[in-house]
Amino acid sequence: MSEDLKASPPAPGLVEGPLWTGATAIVPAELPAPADTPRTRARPRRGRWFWGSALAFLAAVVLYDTASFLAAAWATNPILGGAFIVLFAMVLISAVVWIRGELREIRKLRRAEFDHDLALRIMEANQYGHALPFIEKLLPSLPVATSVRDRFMASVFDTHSDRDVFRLFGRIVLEPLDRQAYAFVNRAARDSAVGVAASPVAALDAAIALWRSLRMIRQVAGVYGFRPGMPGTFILGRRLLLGTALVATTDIVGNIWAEHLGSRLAGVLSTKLAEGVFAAVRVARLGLLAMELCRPLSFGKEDEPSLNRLRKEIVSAIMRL
Amino acid sequence: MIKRATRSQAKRLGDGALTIANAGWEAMGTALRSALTRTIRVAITGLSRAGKTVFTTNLIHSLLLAPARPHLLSFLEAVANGKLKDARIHSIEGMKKFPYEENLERLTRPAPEWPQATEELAGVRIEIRYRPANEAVARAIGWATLNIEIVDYPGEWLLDLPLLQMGFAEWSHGVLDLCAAGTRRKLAAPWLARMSEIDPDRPYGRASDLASDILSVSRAYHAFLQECRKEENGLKLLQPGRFLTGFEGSDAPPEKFLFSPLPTDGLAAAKSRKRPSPDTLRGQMERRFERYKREIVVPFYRRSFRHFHRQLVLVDVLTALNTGFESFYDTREALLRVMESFKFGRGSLLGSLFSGQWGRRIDRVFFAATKADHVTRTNHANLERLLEAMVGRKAEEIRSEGAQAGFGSVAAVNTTKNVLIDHEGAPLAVLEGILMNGPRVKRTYYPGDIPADLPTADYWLNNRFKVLAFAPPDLSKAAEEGIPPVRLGDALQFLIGDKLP
Repeated sequence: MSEDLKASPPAPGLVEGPLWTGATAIVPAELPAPADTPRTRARPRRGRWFWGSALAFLAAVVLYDTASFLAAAWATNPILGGAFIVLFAMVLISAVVWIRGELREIRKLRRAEFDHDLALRIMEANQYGHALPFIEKLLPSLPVATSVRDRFMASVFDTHSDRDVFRLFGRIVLEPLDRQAYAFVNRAARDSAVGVAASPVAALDAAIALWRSLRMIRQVAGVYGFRPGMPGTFILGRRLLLGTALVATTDIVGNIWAEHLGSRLAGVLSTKLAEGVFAAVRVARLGLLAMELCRPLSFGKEDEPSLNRLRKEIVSAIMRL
Repeated sequence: MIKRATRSQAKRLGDGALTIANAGWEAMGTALRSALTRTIRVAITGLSRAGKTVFTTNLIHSLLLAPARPHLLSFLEAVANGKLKDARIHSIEGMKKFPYEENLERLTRPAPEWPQATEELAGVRIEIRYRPANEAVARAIGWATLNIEIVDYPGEWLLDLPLLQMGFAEWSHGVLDLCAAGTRRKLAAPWLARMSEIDPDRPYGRASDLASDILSVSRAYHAFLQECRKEENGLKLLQPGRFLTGFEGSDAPPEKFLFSPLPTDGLAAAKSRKRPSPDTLRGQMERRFERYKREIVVPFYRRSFRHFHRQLVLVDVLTALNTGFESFYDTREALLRVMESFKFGRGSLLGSLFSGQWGRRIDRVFFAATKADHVTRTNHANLERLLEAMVGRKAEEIRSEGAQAGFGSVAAVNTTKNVLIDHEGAPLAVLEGILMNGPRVKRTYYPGDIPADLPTADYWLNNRFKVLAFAPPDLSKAAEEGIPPVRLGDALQFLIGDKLP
């Protein structure tokens, strides 16, 4: 395995030549595919047609109504009509700006998934010279101090393999970010536990958990440099829920644990507190998934935060109440 | 007034109580801190010219600079997580101090030079202060101490180790067997000729005749060893090792320790033979052999090898590969023989030497192929695999004894940079650096690729690999900035990482 394309290398000796300015021989797309298959999402085409056309119809009706209203207002009184038109223009312009911003954030989120795949490929191939350009591209968008950036760049030597470079990146740049995000998740889980335990109406439980989860998702995304508004958060949330659905079906241990804990807790605590703990664990799991999604690289074995540890912290926090 | 008096008295009482409380707290802290102070002894082993001295120098330097320059040892956990507070060096009692400052000065000169080869035993103790991992303990005492004791000695002395397990006849047989073929046969001609003139089992009438014959044969053998050691021959399996590095500064060993192997008539007969009489040449040589072991080898190893916990074995695979087929396999044989002696707890004399009276054993061994900066980075993995092929069998034995064995390709000083140049329209991965014995300008050199497995003889016939020596780069700022190594942190992490947070 060599970095260069030389089919027949020269004899060993002193060689002269200008620095190679072309592309490096092995293009990342040609690296071997990652071992895990990416999650496939089957999207029914028929559903999209229905929703798309329904929304278009609704929009057309609204626009028609607005247009006729504005025309009537203008006909009645030019000044009032003019005012309404100006207001409508403002609404339209601000809507366009807002939508453009949201679409940009959504595209960033979409690209994050592509980055995970690419990073995994680079890691599995473990060659030289691919990890650093990849990281240099995403480093500007991460909210880290210049000193951290400098420290990372100083630590990378030309003798470090791609895997080494990713390890250094994880340790120097991502670890402090992970700690911040973990703190947010922890707090959100605890808040949900308290909220759900204290809520008088059962229907309020879901609302509390949902609101706190959305806020947590936005905080976690912010740690890694994303700033999604409502639509962005919604999309992120939906992707996460799909993730939890997958996890829930495979997390047999988690379910057993939940049952066991339930019977234990029911004896020690009131059912309300036990419910609080369940809600908190669900929120925590969602939080960890959010971290994984928003992170520039997926978690390695050594820096993945443990859900079990988080569960224990939640339970001990509840017991202290 | 009375109130003021009692108030001042109370204040003094309070102050006194506070002082006592503080003193008590400090004493507890000191006691706890000293309870948590540990010493770990690391042997940096390697045949001659493997690079032990430079490696030790940069190891010390990087540790001293680690708090300010963590990038030098990125993969040493304690540095990466910021728990390493500082490091200082001290000398070891009863041993010459390792010349760290002199070596560093030589490297940081405007015209840098490699440190001089080690000619005698020298040691250093690195005192590392770190913040313990356990938060409660860390809050109580602030920091704990780890002492790392390192001993540097000439690589040639290592080869005296196997002598301890052999008798004179067995050793003689082995040496003469090696001299039957190859370069050795050519170089040994004068010595073998001298020996053929004498009958080793003839009793001597006059002591002076015996003495002069002993000296002439031994000096011929000594000359032969010196020829083998030369760079163009690159032979490493040379015993006794002390004959080559001299005794405490002098060039040749003192006469009373000189001896030479003698021809034997078959190993079995030699082993079963009774002790030869002292008025024959053979008898005298055997007595000198045993005396050498008793007075030189045993005390040395008792002194420096007895209590080692961890071992770092540096192997210059590249130079051996570069010199030729004979040199490569001779190096391998020398290494295997030396490691033959690293068996723990087998009940032999060596076993007690290594396990010590308190049963301390070497529980981690790291094999490092040095001068990794002399091949392109894509060859580092091959270098490691080649080293593993060379010593793999012994590593398995070490593991079966319950110790851990690790492998890596390292370089004490990174003298080159990996660049891609445009060569005839295609990219070529080369090394950029300053050549030894030349003007101090950067040149680009293509060394070729190395095999990942033990090469056969015809590998050297169509050789696509040639290593070139590089000089130290510009290290004028190295005293504060550090000397960039290759994978020094990884080696340290394997050797002492478990003793640090």
